[in-house]
Amino acid sequence: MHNRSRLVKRTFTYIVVAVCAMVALFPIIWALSTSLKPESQVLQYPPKFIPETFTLENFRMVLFQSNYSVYFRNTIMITLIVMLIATVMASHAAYAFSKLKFRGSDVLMFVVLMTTMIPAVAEITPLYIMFVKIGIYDTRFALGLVYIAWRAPIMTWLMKGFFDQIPSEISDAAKVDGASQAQIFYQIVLPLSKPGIASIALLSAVFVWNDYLVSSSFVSDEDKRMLSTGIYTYVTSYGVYWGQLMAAVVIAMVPLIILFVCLQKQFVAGLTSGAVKG
Amino acid sequence: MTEKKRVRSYKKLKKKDFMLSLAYIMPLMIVVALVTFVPIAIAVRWSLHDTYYLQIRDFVGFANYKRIFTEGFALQAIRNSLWYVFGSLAIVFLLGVPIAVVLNSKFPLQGMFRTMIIIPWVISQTITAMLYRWLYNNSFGVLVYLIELVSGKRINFLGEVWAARISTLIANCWNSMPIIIIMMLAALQSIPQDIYDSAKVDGASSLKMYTRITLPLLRPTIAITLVMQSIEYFSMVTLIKNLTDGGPLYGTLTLSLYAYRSLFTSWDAGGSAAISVLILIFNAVLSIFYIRMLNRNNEAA
Repeated sequence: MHNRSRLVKRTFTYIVVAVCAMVALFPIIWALSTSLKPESQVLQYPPKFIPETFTLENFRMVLFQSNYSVYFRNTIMITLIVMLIATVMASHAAYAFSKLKFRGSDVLMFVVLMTTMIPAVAEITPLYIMFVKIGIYDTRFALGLVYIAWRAPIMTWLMKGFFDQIPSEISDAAKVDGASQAQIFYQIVLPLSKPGIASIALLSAVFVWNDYLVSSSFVSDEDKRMLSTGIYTYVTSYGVYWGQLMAAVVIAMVPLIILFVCLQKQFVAGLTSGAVKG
Repeated sequence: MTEKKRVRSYKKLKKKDFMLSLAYIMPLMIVVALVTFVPIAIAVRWSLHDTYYLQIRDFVGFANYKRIFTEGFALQAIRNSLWYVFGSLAIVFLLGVPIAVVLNSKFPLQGMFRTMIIIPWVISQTITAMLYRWLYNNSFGVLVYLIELVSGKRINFLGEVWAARISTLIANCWNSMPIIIIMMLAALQSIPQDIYDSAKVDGASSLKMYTRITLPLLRPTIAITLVMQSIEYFSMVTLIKNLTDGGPLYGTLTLSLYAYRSLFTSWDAGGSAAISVLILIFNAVLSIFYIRMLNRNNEAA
């Protein structure tokens, strides 16, 4: 009797998780399947789930016959630059907020943290006006500036949490040995905080990689276009080639999925606390 | 070293630390002020002035605010936003919490299933929109086909107002369900197993344990996630923009998308600034709730 109820429960569990996994993965698998079909099979009703003939033609078109490689390169470049600057900026500020407190520093940290609650869309219009007026509209600089300003606060907050956990005995011992605060930070605290740095770096990278709002608002030049905006132009410019569009989608999505499967822990640590602005 | 000298050298060090601290904080503060606080001031100023493209003209008081309600779509957009926010919240929580509970029980391949179910989380809103555009495609969409197979009816997912509203909800829930599951899983892991063990000894059924033990213990996390997600859903632009662009007949035009479109489609900077200010106010109210809840939870913990 007991065994039977356990069996029922286990079966129920598997049914639920299997259905959920199917719902979660189906759109992705369908995109992959579509991207591997020749156009004649893409436009087929009723649709076939497994392509009759496999082709990489869509991927070839996307990568070599369109501007997609430019978008891809732009996105990688800006992601790396933003990741570097934002991580450096956030970890320094976090150290100051955690270990070099002064009167009012807690209030400043709170104010910085609160900016993450401000919805991005409410700032798009005034930022657009501002960028046009000061002449940095349609530059990569404007993009980077916004990405950094919108991600660094939450990264600082997370990093402060990491630094707070490092016992002050360690830095006190170094202080007795005559190390300056800067030396303590660079030579002792930072090396101890590698996992934290990795997760905030990831946090900024995912934000830039997935962004559409910022890049679609502040950049219009074809040469500076980013992945998400590039994908959207696929839909709007000339009649949609679904096979190619799905190939473009697969190319944009696969790096993140691989990264996620490998670095699940850092993703969860970082993104749960930084999930608001997007 | 005399006492006085030692005190002085200590003070000097303090001052040096303070300067270092400022130097570490300054870059962040400058960037945040420039990209977050200055724009708020600009939005308020432009919302109170007559504008022509990107020229600011006479001060007009609240005329822009009045205009977006009387001549514009603000009221309808607020209604659409409410529907979008509450609809998404309902689906995501009613399904997400039980799914998290199931995923929290131990079974073989648990880790693999968990990873698979969470994957949509790393997929951007743009890509989500593209995936669903293709699933919903009126001529070749596989969902159209599957539903026709089951019910014999062809649904025009993005072509009719109510169908489009529900379609955007589904796409949004697919994309944001994982975050709920992750938050709930984190909270579930902190519930000690012996509570369940002793309930089992008392002969409690699984359903009873869910409603009497799990749900009450999850309540603080649910409350916080609820507010967090409502802020997120309320300010969402990308998914709806890329999926329906507010159509058909402005049926999926939310307040956030309305702000975006007022600038980039209608070139009405004053109106867009006014909507932005409204969004900021709505959001400030929600944020106050959020912070209060966080504080209450921290006190309880």
